[in-house]
This record gives sequence, structure tokens and C-alpha cells, in this order.
Amino acid sequence: MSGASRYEAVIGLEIHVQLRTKSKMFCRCDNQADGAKPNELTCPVCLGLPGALPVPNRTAVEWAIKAALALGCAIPDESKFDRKQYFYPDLPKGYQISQYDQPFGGPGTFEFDMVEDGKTVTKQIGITRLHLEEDAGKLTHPKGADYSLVDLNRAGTPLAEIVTEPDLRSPAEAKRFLQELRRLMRYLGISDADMEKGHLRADANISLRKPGEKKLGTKTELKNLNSFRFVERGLAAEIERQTELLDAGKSVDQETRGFDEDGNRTVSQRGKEEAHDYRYFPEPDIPPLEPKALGIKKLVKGLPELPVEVKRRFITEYGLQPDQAELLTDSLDDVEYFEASLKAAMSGKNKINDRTKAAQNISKIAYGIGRQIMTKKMLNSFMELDWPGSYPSVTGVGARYLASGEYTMSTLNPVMERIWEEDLDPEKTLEKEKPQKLGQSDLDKIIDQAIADNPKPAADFKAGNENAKQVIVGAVMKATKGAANAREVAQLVEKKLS
Amino acid sequence: MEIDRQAVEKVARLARLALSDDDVAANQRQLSKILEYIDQLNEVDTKGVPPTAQVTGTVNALADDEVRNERRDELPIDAPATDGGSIKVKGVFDG
Ligand SMILES: [Zn+2]
Repeated sequence: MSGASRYEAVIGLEIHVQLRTKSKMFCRCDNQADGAKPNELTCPVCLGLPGALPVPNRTAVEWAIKAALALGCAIPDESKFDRKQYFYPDLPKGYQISQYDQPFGGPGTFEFDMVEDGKTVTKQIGITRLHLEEDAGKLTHPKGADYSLVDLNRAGTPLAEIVTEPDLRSPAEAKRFLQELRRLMRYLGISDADMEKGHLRADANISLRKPGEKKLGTKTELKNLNSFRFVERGLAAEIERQTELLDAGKSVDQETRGFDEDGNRTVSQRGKEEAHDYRYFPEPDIPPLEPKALGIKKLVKGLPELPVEVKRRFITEYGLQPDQAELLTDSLDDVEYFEASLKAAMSGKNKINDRTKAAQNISKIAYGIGRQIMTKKMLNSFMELDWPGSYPSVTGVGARYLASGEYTMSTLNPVMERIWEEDLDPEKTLEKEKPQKLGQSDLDKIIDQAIADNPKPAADFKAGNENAKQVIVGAVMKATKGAANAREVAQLVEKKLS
Repeated sequence: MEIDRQAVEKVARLARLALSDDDVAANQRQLSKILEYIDQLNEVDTKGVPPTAQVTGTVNALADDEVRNERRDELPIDAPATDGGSIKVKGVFDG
């Protein structure tokens, strides 16, 4: 609403990223809890039994440092783990092993691009810190029961907690940040970062102030924004609530709130917080860490090209639009796929010489036809199609036939689908199934027929109704099974009717 | 070091313990006694000694990321009540 212009929103995020290590953070229990029976993946360490000794997972530590490096964080000389005490049934030890004053990542900056008012803008968001900790168990509340159930399979799963500076200025920007962060985590290969599965969980701090004001207003903490939609809607609802309070001359209370989706509003969770008095102290069972002795150089070398760079490269080198580049760089697999397809499109007997043209055609195929198959198979990602190794070349070959004009998107579509589904040879199949090239006289005949079949639209068009010709164009496209060029047909129809 | 009533009540609240008035008084006495030992430690001159939480000299004691614990059929603990493998506790409700 108009509140956005009267006040500036100041937003910071706290994100928990579940790391996809094989074993847990401090014990060697299986970390892949999907499909396991409750409490099947537990041991004395993650159950918090007396005398058990936690030993940090080397890979989790390396990944935390890797993530910190990718976020531009300073890596400290010394680090350690601490105990954070609180009592809750999902926390068997009565404390969580976390990091208090010596996190793995010091201050850093995360940069990403987003489109605002049709213009691409670069955002730089300060990262306060990144630290490593263990997850708690899972509590479920059977409907109508007066008890809760505890499953500790997830207790001890490694989490990287990332805290940002209050540098975000709108719900859309916060959502975008999270999406970019998810992409980064996937590029790094350290998390599946699926919000629906709870691999990525966000809390937000939010306050309002008058534009130009330097001082921060009183903030509230918005908990459990567990989908991108929740982040955007929850923050928008909280901005509206705070705006109303400030407009009425009232003050905002510093408190924890949750988002109520049905009511599209935030609700106080004051009862839950009590005094946050965690009584941190150094974890006596885990010797200190010296991150720099863990081979930082190797970790730096192992960093992939970061998503923001890949996307910029796709736009400048391949001439793709930002939204195309966005889709085609969703994962490193996608990037690899695209570049292999491009290579295939720019070689062979009917190769495309213009790189931009080749890139455009691949984009069309990957996200026109590919997406259609994905939808049919109820898949979330292009890569889930489970391509055999040769498949980038399928897209590349398709792009070539599209560029040569032998196929249009609509004639290519069903053939490509068959190639993919039946694992056919792309070149042979596309050659064999090539649609009859329409001669000018054939097309003329078909158009005349279509006009004759549709006397009313024809008359309407003559009477000045521009849109009426679409009916005739549609009929021609149908008769040619998509082999004709719709724009060319439209021009011919127009000429014939005027 | 003397622990006052409020301190005991606060710690009890944080630890989710319900204490009777008598319990509070008893804990006040006992905790105060325990902390007297810390007072003894405080008498040691630590000028020039860097603070530490560790004495072994070990650093970067890490384990390789491999699953070594088998899936278990039964919890190795005496949970008062279970249900389909889950531990049953008094109802806790979020939000
Ligand atoms: Zn364990």
C-alpha cells in the first residue's frame, strides 16, 4: 500500500541452511533422514546421553568455510564451538552446540542482480556472520492429542546459519536475496536448499523509519518464513501493521511474531520467547579450530563460478535476456547443459554460426519443450528429466533445425518430445520427420480455403476489426500443422482481405 | 557468592523446573555453597594468563564424513512413553 512510500522498511534476515553431508554434525549417524522411521538415526551423541563425545564433521566445517568464502566473508584465525542452553523437548542435551563469538565467517558482502522497474540493479547486502551449528529434533502434534511426539533423526544435522545486515529494503528484495542465496548454496553443492523440505529456513528482523532518517526504528522479529511466498507476504503484512501503528502515533513493540497465512497478518508470539538467556559458554568437549590450517587455498580453488557471474556472462556473452539467463543458470548442471547444447548447435552440417541465435534457440527449446515435458512428468526442475549424457546434443541439434527454418517451434515440439521420451537419435529423427516444406502456392490455397471457411471473421476484418483475422490465421496454422510461419500467414491474410 | 531468590527462580524458569517455596530456599542455600568454590578459584592470581576453555593443546580434531552408525530398531534410552518409535512428551504447541 501507500505505507511503502511514507516509510522505509529496514530488513535483515537470518537463514538456516541444512548441509547435505552424509553423516551428522557431531556423530556419524546418517544425515539423510528422508523416509527413515522415527529415531532410527540416533546414537548416544545426538541423543545427548552422558559421556558421549561429539566430534565435528570435517566436511561440514569445510563447507561452512566454503560458503563463508563465497559470501565474501573474512575467515578468522581461530574458531570454536559453544553451548547454547535452552530447554525444549526437541533438544535432548538441554543445549545446542553452536558458535557464539568466533564464527567461521566474519563480515562479508553478498552481491546479486535483480530487475526493478524494468532495469537491472546490482544489490550488495552485508553479511554479518556465518556460523555452524546442529539442528534440533522434530516435534509433531497429533490432531486432538494432548501430547507431542519427538523424532530425533534430525537432531544433530549440520546447519549453517547466515545473518545479514539490515540492508534489505523491501519484501521483494528479501525474497530475491533468499532465492539468490539458495542458488549459491546449490552451486556450492553443500545443500539441496529446498525450502519446502525445510533445508532453508528464514527469520526476518524488520523495522520502519521515515525516508532519510538514519536511526533505526523498533524492530520485530518474524519467525519461520518457510517459503519464498511467506517471506514476501509475511514481510508485507508486517510492514502494513507497523505503518498503521506509526500513523496512529503509537509505537512498535520489540517482540517475536509469526505469519498467519489465512488471515494474511502477523501475530504476536510473545509467550514463546521468555527471556532469551542462553548462557553461552565454550563447548569443553571440542578442541578449538584453526580454519586456515584446513587448506583454505584448496577451498578457494574449489569454488565454482558464482551464480551472479554466470548469469552476467550468459547475458553479455550469449545475448540472452535476464529472465532467460535466470532460468538457464538455475544450477551448475543447467549451466553445463546449456553450454554443451550450444557447442552442439554450433557444429555439424547445418551448424548455426551466430552464437546469439544459437543461444536463443536453445533457450526456446529448453524452456518451451523441456518445460512441457517437465509439467507432464510433474517434475520441478529441468535437470530431473534425468538426461543421458548425449542429451545436450539433442537440444543443440534441435536448435540447428529450428535455425535452418526446416522446423518451427510447433512442428519441432512433438518430434523433440518423442526423441526425448523414446531415446531416439536426434539427427536421424529430425531429418526423417521434417515437415513438408510449404510451397507458396500451397500456402495460398490453404489461406483461401481458411477465408472461405470463415466468412464472418473475414467480413469483420474488412469492416475494421483487426483482431478478427486471428481466427483465420489460427485455421491456417492448424491446417499446416504449425509448419507455416504465423507472422507471414498474418501478413498474407491481411493482403488478401484488403 | 550469595545467590538471591530471584536468581534461583530465573534459573528454574529457564530450565523449565517448577520449584516449591521450600525448593527455592533449599536451592538458594545449595547454589550459594557451590559458588563459594568459585570464590576460592578466584583467589588465584591469573594476571598474564590468557583465558582458555581447553587444556589439551589439540586443534582441528575432526572426523571424516562417513556414516558409521547403523540404523537402530530401538531407542537406547528409557523413554517414559513411545508411539511408533517417537518419544511421547507432554503437549507443546508452536505459535
Ligand atoms: Zn548420532
